[in-house]
Amino acid sequence: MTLDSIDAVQQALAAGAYVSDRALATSIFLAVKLEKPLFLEGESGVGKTEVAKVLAQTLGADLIRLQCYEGLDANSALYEWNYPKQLLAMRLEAADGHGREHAPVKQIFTREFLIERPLLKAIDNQGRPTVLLIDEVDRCDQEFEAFLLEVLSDFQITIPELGTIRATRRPVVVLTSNRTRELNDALKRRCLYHWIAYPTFEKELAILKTKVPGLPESLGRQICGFMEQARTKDFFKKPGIAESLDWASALLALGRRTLDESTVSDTLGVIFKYREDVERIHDASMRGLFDAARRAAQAGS
Amino acid sequence: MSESTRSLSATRRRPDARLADGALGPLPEPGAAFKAATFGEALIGFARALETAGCVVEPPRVHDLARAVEHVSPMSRVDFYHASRATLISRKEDLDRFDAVFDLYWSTVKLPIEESDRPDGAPQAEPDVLGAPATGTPRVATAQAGVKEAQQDDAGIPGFSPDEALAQKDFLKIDESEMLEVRRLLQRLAERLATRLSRRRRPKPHGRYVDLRRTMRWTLQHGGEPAVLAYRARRVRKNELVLICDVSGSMDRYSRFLIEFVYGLQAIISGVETFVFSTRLTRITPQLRRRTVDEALVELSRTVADWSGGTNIGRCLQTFNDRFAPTVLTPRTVVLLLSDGWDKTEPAVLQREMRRIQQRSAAVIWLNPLQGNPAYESYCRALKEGLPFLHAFLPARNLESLAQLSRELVPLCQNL
Repeated sequence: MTLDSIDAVQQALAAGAYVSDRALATSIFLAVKLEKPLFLEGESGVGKTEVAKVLAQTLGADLIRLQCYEGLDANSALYEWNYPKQLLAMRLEAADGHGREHAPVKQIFTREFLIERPLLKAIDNQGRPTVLLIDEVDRCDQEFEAFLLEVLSDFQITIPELGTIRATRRPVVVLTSNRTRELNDALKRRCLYHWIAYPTFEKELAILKTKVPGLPESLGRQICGFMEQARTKDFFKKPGIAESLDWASALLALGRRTLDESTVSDTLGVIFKYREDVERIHDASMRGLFDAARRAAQAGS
Repeated sequence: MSESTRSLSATRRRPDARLADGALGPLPEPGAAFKAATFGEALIGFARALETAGCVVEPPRVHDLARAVEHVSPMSRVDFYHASRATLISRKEDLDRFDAVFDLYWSTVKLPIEESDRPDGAPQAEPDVLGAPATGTPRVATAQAGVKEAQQDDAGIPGFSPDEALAQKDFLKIDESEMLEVRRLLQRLAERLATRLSRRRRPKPHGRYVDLRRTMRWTLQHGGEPAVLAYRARRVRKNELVLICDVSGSMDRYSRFLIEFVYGLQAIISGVETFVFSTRLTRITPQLRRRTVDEALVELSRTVADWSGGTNIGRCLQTFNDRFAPTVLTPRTVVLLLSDGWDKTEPAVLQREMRRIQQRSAAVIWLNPLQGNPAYESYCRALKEGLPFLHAFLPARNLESLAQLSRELVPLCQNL
């Protein structure tokens, strides 16, 4: 499928069961057209990673994912030599009767012995459409960020033993960040920026309906009303869309139709992952959440 | 210092600083885009207006927007809005500002953009790349002037070497006009410390990890026999830091500076947990993630009733130990405690709680803004109880003392 207009992007996302808004569709469209990385920021659980997945699906592209973590270095992201295989090759050669004076030097630094890690894989894509997802880039170290900047500017990688490898076709790059720290300006400058906010009530309801078939309308509305309120409260980790979806599935599996206090208590573990938050839900100040859920259900009927 | 200088220079170093000292910069007059001769110029003017209002807009991004406009046809106002947001802005903090500027700047301007308005023709010289030849209408004059002024001001800043007097000036006495400069210096200090501490993994003869790549090279030289292993040193792991700050009375101000400083250290510190206390302990880590230090503290002072009451260090540390220590303290954690120690806690309680923290962490450093003041030292009883459990006891009243803290942190973090 080609993405040659903003409408096309929006339709493609919808076909991939991703409920988007025009702003996101515009950003994606421009990222593809301008061949610039798309930098997605937002709270966790708002569907940042999902964008890359649906995009790859839509474009019929390979999805290559680089999960960032503290301590991730160029070796694990780029390439590594297959040392056991190299050693074995040398041994075999020795056994074949070549004396030690003919040390095998060149042959073991060839493509055959190269292990491609995500970044190299994305660049050395043999012209196939590729979506490169660099996930949770805020978790990596600053040195790695600088290295990423280099790769994302040139889309080429130099391996001393092999030479320079260039992308014959630039991958579509999606970076995501939970914003645990501010990223280097230079890196952000390379990218198109899009902030994914928590969804509106209607959008979340649409997502629930798309993703959880068989969910009764009224229960969906209650969940969205509850979540909308919950996100205005000061929880340590506010529930995202991922939590809404899990919750909806859980409630459906349990055969619950309304969000009363006991139902919520029984399923709290699905939406809150910290003890502090689970405790807080019982505070008097949280009455508002149930009222909101009830109002939402009434508004729908 | 003019507004435009703020947006152009200081904010690059410390993106959040600007928010703290007074929100939105000057906004453009309604329909300012009308004044531009061509659409290209209007785009440049728009970027300038954004900068003047306090957004960070890098010049090459205007070019991205111009390219984006070429790709979207016909472009509705909404699409143009989304496209310019995606291309010009790169921080969440700027989004609201962007909306305000967009509405004013492009109000009364006819959108969708017609073909004839589009940037066309051969590029001229920078920064006129986008525009068709000018027809003599003056550009958005105020923005132009602002940029010029900014450049001059930038040149006028004497390097980055901290002004001696400013470095020694007590944080309490720093007025609004100096605030920006102090914040910038604070950020510089943090960056320097970060550079000194962060290091790539490097070859080391007796390191802990086998360096396979170099081992293979040696092996080759010996005809394929892996006789010698090359080692590399352990990567310098990042440290975790816990800040426990007194925000009662005048301590509030010192705490703000310390928190800002520590948040500038993110390059070498994987996790900072921040707590503030007066009579009660509150964890503000999540707030700081979303807001600037000032905003977070202002919000807190609204919600916490006992804000300017006296302190109770002992009880607050007990809360810390009971509720938070198991999850936030590791043997690699350095704990920074900022307080003047002016407090009525029972000595036994304080001693017990200090010991608990010390046992769970790598080191505890007590920062006291009033240290060195002889009139003060006679009555800081709480501090004396804490002394045996401290790695260091340092002042924290001005930039110089934070530099001293950095010097203390370097060997401490490297040896962990």
